Amino acid sequence: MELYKNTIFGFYREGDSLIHKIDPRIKIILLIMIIVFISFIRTFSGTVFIGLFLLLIMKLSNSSFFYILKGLKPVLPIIILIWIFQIIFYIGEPGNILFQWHFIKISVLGIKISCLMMLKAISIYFISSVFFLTTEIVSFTDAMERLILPLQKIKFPSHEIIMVGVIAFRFVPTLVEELERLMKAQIARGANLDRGNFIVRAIKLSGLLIPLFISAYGRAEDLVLAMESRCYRGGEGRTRRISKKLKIFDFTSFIFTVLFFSLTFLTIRYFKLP
Amino acid sequence: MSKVIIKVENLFHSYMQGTPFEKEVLHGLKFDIYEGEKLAIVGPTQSGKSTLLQYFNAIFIPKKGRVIVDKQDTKDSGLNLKELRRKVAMLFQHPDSQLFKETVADDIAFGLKNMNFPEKVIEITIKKALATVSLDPNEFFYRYIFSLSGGEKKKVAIAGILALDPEILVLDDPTAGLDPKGRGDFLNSIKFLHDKLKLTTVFVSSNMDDVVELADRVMVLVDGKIKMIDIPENIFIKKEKLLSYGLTLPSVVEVVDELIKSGINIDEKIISIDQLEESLFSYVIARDKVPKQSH
Repeated sequence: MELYKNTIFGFYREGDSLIHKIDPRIKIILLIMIIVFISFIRTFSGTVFIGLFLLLIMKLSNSSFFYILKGLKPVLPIIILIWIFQIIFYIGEPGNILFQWHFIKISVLGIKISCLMMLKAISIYFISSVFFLTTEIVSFTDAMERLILPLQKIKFPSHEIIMVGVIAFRFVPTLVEELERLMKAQIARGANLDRGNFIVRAIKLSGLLIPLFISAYGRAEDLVLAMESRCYRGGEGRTRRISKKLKIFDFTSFIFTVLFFSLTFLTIRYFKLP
Repeated sequence: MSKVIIKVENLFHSYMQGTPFEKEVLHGLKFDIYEGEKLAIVGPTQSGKSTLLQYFNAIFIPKKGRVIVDKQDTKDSGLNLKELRRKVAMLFQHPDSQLFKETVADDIAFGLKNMNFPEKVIEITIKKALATVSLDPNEFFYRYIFSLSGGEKKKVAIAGILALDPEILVLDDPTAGLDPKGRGDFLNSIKFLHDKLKLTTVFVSSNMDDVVELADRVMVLVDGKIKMIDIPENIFIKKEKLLSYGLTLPSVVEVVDELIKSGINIDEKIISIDQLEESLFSYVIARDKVPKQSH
């Protein structure tokens, strides 16, 4: 019965590695770029290159492979289900059909493409995990704000949106803690929250929602007062506590990534790898 | 010594087991709680007090070590958890997390319904429980939880667990957040309950005055290790040690300290206000006697 202390929020792990040191703005751009690159990969040889890249990144960031892998466990059934569906319902050129039963067709090409999709999805999971393991939620949201700040010019409320995001992130652990407290109080009086089938459990958990909402509203009210009493009036003209400048190292990491993937694509194209 | 009711043997506890964040918070605790005693657990924040309490009613099951409550090992797979949790009543720090139904009666009935009490008995039991914590059953039965004051909420929360007829009362920092009057009321009702129902009481407190007022024995828990476990007089005499753990002293002990420093000769083992009053009284009488004899 430990939710709070056993849950990892935002994944961040303190550290001093090279990946930790990359400016979060650059890191966000890199993450998006890498995800795009990965989705452009169409061959198995390409996934080998991605694998190499991921191994390098994990080595540089000192993150444990098995630890990230463990995080995959809860979503594994869904991934496998999607994989199976893809194999069964793949509609492509009529290639070598191995097996056919009514509308279910299993083709070599279908298996190939769905395996590739799986590998790519898992790679994206890994690279995002490394990102969140090495980036503090605070510096992540700060960097996000800086990246979309120019949109303020076209009346896009970037500061406000990020502020809402920051507060939401900030309150996840608090609410989980609150939920844990409520659950323990009910268990202590003989409630069996972890017994019964799925529906029974859902009904029991719904009894926790009302007190949880009430306490969340209470907290929100306090927060509003605390912010207003410190003269918070939105983003206009606010200065920053930490001002970060991009360093040569940040550009190097950027160039390295672009170079790596360009070489990957060129190699695959040039040698016509499968 | 009377019967041992809770036996803790070599108890370890870690958070986030099997992750890089793993942290051990209890390091091999070993102690006994005797039937009918009032044991206070004190310690600085993050010392593992609240974690330890949750082992007594099997919210936590030991992974390493054993906790035996009333001759039953909480690790035992055949354990009747409901019965154990009825026996060991737990009051949480914030009554708001414990009260979640709309009305007082509904909330107290929650535990009773979980324990499968018959419908007919429930209403009588609720009224009895309210009376035990000195709340008027007729007034409070249909009151909304939101309309209660902090002290009343605390009392309703206790009524909710007392209705289950427990044998052991476990309280997590029970007087935190109460005003002085509420605190006095609350301590009195706990004392009253203890004397009347002979409940074994284990409580965590950050207020040393509460400890002096309630406890028969005090356990000092620092960084998940038991530093001292003894009667309050023997604990509070070790002032430097307590201060070095980041704990405070009972206000009476501080007053006695100052009095002794300013040359008033009283026993430094005094910890309660009654003892202080008595010895100051006899000190004044003794002092007044001296000049009379010299005349």
